[in-house]
Amino acid sequence: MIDFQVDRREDGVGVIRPVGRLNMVAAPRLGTVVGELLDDGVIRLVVDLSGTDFVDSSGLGALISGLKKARQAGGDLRLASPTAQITAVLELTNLNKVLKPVATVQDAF
Amino acid sequence: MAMGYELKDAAEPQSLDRIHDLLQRMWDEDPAVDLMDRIRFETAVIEVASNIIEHGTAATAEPIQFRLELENTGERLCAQFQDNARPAGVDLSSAAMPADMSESGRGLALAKVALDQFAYERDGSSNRWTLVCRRSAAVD
Repeated sequence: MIDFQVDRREDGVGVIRPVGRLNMVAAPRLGTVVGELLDDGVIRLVVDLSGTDFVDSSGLGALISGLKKARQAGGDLRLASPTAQITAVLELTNLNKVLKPVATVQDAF
Repeated sequence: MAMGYELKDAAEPQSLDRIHDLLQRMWDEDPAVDLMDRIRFETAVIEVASNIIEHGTAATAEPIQFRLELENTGERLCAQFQDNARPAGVDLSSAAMPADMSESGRGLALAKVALDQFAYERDGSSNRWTLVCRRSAAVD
């Protein structure tokens, strides 16, 4: 099971916090959450991974999809606080170049 | 002494949680397994399971079933999946990481780079996937 906590900050940044495993079950839901924020004009997005236990290739695909959509809208999507598994998976897939995580949500924008 | 674990399940998305639970038992019973070895192995096991769930085509009217066997030999972490789907017909030698901005196609390529040995073969009416991760030497 996964839960998505969404915080629309006063500075216009949207923070999405997936709590649980970001896998083939959860990935489409991340796409929905990103889409809703972008539709509302929230185009600077941070995915706070501090509560995300596990990411698989479906989850990576959803993050890439969100990154592309945010950039198309003139914004960006950045990752914060990755766990060891997520850091390892980003390195193994070479996605740490395009989804370069920062240490904390505050560092993202 | 080698420690073994087994799960027989339907190839459905909910089975991923049960695979994570089985892996957690394996980690709980041998806390000495290096964190990076756990991560590499668990990531690859879940990718193969997801591939069976997402891309498997049932050979009969019955849903696809799989059997997963895990073994921790002390030197290696091994997994074997057998499923009764139609031939998966994959060529792991050509499983390569897609372009950075690609939204799909990373699953088996990720499993391949995470593992030390990765094999697929058709065995009678089953697909058989073999995954091996050599454990890092323990650091005193």
